[in-house]
Amino acid sequence: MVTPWAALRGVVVLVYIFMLGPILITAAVSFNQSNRSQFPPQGFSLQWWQRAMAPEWVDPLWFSLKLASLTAVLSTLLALPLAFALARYRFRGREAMVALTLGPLMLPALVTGVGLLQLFQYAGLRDYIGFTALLVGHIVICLPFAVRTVAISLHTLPPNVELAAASLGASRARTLWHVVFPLIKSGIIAGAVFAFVHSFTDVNLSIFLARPGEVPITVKILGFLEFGFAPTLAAVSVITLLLPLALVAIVQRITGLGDFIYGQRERV
Amino acid sequence: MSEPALRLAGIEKRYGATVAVAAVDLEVREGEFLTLLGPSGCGKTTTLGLIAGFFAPSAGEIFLKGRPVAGLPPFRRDIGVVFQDYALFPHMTAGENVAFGLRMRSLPKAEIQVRVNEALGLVQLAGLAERRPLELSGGQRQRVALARALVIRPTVLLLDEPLSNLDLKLREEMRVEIAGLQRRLGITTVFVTHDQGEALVMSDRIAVMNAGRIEQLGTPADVYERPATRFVAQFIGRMNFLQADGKSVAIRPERAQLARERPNSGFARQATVRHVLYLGATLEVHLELDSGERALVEAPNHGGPARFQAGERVWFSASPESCLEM
Repeated sequence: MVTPWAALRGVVVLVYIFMLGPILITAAVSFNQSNRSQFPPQGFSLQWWQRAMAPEWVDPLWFSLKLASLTAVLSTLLALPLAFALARYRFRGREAMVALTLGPLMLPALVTGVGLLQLFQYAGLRDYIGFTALLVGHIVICLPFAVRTVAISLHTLPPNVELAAASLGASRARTLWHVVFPLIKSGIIAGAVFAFVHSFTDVNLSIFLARPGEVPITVKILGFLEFGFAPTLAAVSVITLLLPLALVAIVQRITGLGDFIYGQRERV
Repeated sequence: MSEPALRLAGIEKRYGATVAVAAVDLEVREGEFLTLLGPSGCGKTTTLGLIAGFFAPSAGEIFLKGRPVAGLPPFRRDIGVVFQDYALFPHMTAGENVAFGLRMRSLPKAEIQVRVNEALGLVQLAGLAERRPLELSGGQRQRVALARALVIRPTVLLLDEPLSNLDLKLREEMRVEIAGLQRRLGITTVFVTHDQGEALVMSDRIAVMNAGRIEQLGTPADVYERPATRFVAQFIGRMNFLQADGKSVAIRPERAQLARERPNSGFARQATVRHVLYLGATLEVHLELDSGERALVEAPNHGGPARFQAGERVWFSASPESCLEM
């Protein structure tokens, strides 16, 4: 007889196989000795990794890191006042603001990309296509993640702590600095991490707004696929995969991000 | 005559068409323990919020030691508040919580340290300064909240139902302790509660509130012995309301007597005992008067067999001075 627990265990095993399997296969392929992407790999060599370290790949990787970092910082900075306004105040146009902020979440990034490309072209901003356009686009698609996580953490603030701070002589600004920010810190960081990862892994929007020399790694990989799946690509993919994973792991270690994602520890 | 520590002059708070606080005038003397007592929704917590400055009054002025403050934000008012849920800062230790108000006043570190220790000692938490709120019991959290509000030596201390989250035994201990601390420090205090027992035990004066107004302001004995309105009479303690010569007469259950013979003077009605409740220290005798009215008599339990049984015919009576005309 299949008990619920056994069934759940089975599902977990399947999830792991489908999540980790492709990654492990890709990693293995990158060590092939021949120039064919074979699995299991034939022989062992680091030549494809060596090629992956060439400027052809390192430059777009670096470009993506810069783009994702800046996107994370800027969308979080924008998300803070937005989340405050949406979570705390009832004002005219609030519904419209909610829709605008969370809208990109429903819209295929592809559509946003096409739209932005047209906007930049018709508005005479053609010269900004590339990094600037990509930054704008990425902020648009990452903002919903940042706003939502900050707004959720605002709702978990214990009631009255802000009033308590005010009664103890803290101005609005000092209350924010000494009480509110420390208490929603993990929400802010989680929002920034989500934004970073979302930006770093985006291809749908980036494909429209890149230009030669200003190409994110995802778009570069996609372009290279036209020539078939070379083992170089396997090595690049592994690097591209490990970077955001490493970031999440580091942030989680430092801040206890897991608390935010999997529910807060008990609060007073 | 010296300036009162706190004065409310025609304070009003409206939310649209709803009046939360209606034209309240109130003076709290230096060092006084004044309680705002009333059912939920009577405007007592709103009044407290207005004094603290958490929101602005729709009309009227608030004076702290003669200084008008209605237009000032809370952080410029110098008022200590203890919240019902304590509202401690969960990311700070007990000591840091208590130090917060002093840090906001930019006091030197050494002085902050001394005063924090002093305040924690005052609420018997010396040695727990390093604990976080999460690591403290409900009663200890409450003491931290109290120390945090006291350490800034506020002009007025506001307590918003601070005892309602404690269990019964602790609540009764804290009643005495808070009232004792308040008298020792001589700090002007406004206490909000819906618990008449707390109000009677702790207060110098009680303002009984109903529907946004103060129905009566007086000492605990005043409001209990001489309630000004029917609302006060039935909200504080229990009360029999009976008709006599077209007027309403109010009689406290513990002031009424039961007898087999008709008493010579005062208020007297014949009645039937409906049931007798045994409460340990007292007995509660529920009556139905011949007029159809219900009445209650609370008699001390002297031991021995109960004097009256259900179904018995008795006389319900009260001396003239125990009868209040309402």
